[in-house]
Amino acid sequence: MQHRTVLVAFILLLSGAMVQVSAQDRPKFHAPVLITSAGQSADVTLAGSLCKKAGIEARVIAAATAADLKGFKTLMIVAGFSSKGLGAAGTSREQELERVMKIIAAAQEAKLPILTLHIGGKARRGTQSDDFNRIASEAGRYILVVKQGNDDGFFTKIAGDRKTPIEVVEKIAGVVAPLSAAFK
Amino acid sequence: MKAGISAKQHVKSGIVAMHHMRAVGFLVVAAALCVAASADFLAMWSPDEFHPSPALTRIDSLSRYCPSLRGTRADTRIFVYEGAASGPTLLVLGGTHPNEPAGFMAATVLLENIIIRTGRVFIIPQACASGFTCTDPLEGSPQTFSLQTQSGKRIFRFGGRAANVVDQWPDPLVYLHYPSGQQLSGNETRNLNRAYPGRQDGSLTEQTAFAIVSLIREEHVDLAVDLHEAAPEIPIINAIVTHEKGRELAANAVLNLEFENLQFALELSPANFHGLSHREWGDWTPVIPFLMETSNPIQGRLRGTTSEQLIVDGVDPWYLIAGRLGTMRITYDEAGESLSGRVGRHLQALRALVDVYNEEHPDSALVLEGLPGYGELTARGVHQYLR
Amino acid sequence: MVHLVYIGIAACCAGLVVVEMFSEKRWREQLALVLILIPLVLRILHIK
Repeated sequence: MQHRTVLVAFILLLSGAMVQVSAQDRPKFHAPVLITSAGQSADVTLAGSLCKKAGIEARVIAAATAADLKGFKTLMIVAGFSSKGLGAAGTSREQELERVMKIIAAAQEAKLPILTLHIGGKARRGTQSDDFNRIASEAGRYILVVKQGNDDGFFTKIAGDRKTPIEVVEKIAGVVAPLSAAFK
Repeated sequence: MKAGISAKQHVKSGIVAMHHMRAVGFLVVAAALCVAASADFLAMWSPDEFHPSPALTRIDSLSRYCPSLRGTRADTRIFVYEGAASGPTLLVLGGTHPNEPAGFMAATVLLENIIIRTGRVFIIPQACASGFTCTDPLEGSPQTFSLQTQSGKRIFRFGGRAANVVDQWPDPLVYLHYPSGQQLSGNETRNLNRAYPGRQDGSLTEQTAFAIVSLIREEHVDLAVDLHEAAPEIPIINAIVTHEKGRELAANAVLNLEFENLQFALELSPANFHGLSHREWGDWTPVIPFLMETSNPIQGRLRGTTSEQLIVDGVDPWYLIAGRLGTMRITYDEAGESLSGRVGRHLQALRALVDVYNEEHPDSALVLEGLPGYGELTARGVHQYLR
Repeated sequence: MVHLVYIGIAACCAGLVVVEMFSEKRWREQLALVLILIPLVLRILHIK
């Protein structure tokens, strides 16, 4: 057991993870995971690739609705706004906000744990993105953020206020280790 | 009648003759100014020089794929490289917007350094050739920029965003995209990256777009990359925009680039915004298309002096202030956004896309060598990679 | 075709400007007409 903890710590160190939660505090999640977007940025595709690298069974539905939750044990919300992404999904910002709020409500009703991911850095911050970032973070049972997107402490403040475990990693690739640990 | 008499009186008194002579004098001045201005404008008609790498197989013209382009200023060179063994085909487009020099220069560095083992590469460094013959009005842009290369000082043109109005005029009030019927402002009629898939009997820009789409079809291009730049305050910079066909491939490339300390945002091509390369190439042909953006201060609204130095060094005091105030989505510091760095980003990302494609297609790989990456270009400068 | 029609219109405008220059007596107005004439000539000649 001790060896395992040392190994996890070593992996996290290697991946450049800045750990704010201990392994015991980190909530446990179970696969299969439904990955959806909050803001329609293509980071949702990156999250799919990260899950694949972490060996987690997951399916990406960027514009998932409550009906898509059936059969999944975790909802992963990838936060970040993209106007191009909205165009790709053929939706508006208002419709997207409504969809995100509805799927969060449905997941909470179904007692499905929500894992919030923000990996887009500065490009997914600012007024357009932050509404989505806030909604997704406030709903999350666990928040994973790439450092550049949290330079002003936006996510750590939300996590602190709501006592949600948060991990801030240096790079997108650094998400893999805490992600796989959360699904062990 | 009274005026007629008066005019005669003026003739007699010599007043008319005087203003007639002055008119002639002004016409001579106008002619002289026209000649001087023409010399300046016509200087941009001279084509840029390229020194292709020894791996070059042949140089084609875009008019090969749309004969009506022959003899027009929209016809442009295609540098074709074929490996010893067969493999996939890559198309690289620079200069879709001639005021985005990193795209044009990345294609130039590529064609001057490439070594190809398997597969084929088509490089069009100046996709909107007509746009290289003028600058955008009211922007105060320099007409050229220069780099001190191995063979001496090389001068490259810095054009406008769209085709030259003298080649395609007048602009309609509203541009109706073919075939979607999408409406855009009239000046977008000359924007190559709003014209795809184009049409053979359309405007000059539509014919150019048609030729590029025909090339993709006829040459069975597997991967196509359109190299761009955007103002630093635009949300979509340092990004790879992909058609849904290339979503996974681009995502893996972005992750690999991050391992190499280069951050790229991944953006999906909007399905309902027509005319763009990453949308229409993917919809109308079997190719997997990508568009890449870097951050170019000379295109931005916050910029100060619009000079050749700003193109090459990318250091602008007003963007530094914006960066310090935290209003930028990228890190903009004293190092600026140099042309070398921007070209490096394009080439590194291109390499990443090809590498991921090769991983996914181990039996049919595109093996390229000689391409400098971001580290090399920022350390040595883009001029070191021009012959 | 539209292109040629517009070039024709530009040529007519240039001709009118030249005629106006000869009938105009004030030098300031003549100078203003020169400034109008130059871009018309450059456009007709397909230079700018």
